[in-house]
Amino acid sequence: MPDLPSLGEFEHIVLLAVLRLDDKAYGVTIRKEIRLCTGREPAPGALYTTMDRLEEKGLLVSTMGDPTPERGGRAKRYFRVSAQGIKAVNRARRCYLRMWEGLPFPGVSHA
Amino acid sequence: MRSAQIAEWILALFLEPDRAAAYTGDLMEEAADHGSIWFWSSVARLAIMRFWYDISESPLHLVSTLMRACILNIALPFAIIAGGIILLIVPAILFAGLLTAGFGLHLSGATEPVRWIDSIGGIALIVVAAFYTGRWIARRMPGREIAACFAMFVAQPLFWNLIGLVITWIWAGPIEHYILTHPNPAQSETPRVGDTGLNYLMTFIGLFVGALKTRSRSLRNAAQ
Repeated sequence: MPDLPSLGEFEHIVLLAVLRLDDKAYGVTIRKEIRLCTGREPAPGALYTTMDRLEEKGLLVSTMGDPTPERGGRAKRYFRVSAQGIKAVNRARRCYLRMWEGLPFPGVSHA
Repeated sequence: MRSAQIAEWILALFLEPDRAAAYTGDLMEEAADHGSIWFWSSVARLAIMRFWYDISESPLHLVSTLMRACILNIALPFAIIAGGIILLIVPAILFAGLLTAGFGLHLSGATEPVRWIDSIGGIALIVVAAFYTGRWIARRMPGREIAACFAMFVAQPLFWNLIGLVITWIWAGPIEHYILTHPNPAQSETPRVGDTGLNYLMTFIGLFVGALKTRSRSLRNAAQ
């Protein structure tokens, strides 16, 4: 699949976080999900720039939600992974699995 | 929350307005736990990262646009002066010539009010040239107007210093002769066109007002 853009590590993590959150994925929840799953806290600047780049690559799609009073009347921007994004994640997963195959790490099993 | 409005305005310089509003809302939501220092540092980092993203997206296009913009920014004042000479100054000189010839009036050299007019005129020229250069840049780099203007603001002195170095290197002899034969004129207390700091500030204002005007118009057109 030569037309599929390749994913950087952080882009991969962001796409997986959006997939895990389903229809509740916006800036705050994505950051929380990444923190919960990876233990690292991405800077908002890095996260939003990555999400914008993924959107420009066609891997993420965003829609505006309704304005909420606790955000000063500002709407949330919800993200979901596009069909192209799912293909890119799947390809990255296959690549990782192939790279892991046959590696004799103590305490790691490949079921 | 006034600070949120300011943050949204800063982010809207680099992002589409609805995106800037949504991201400001996200930061506000998280600032309830982290505090205002975290909020403002996040806004600053997001703006800087977005700026870097904008200028690094297609660097060759950016560099070629900025080089042409530097030349335009210098050429525009000369074009305006040439136009002004043709439209205003030549008739004025002719009129003054008639006055001095007919009524025996004597126009003295550089008096203080004349120097002020010269300085204000020079500053106005710089602002107008920078304003149109800002608009020119904004039309060529839609969506990245402000980042391109920041880059232009930083790159312009570097560009002209580089040109100056090249010229000095090529024509070292004639330039040395000129410097030796033309001593520096006496410094004036009024701001002159050559005051670098003031020129720099005026260029900054002109560039950004021009770029912001074009950006807000293109955003308005896109919304319709």
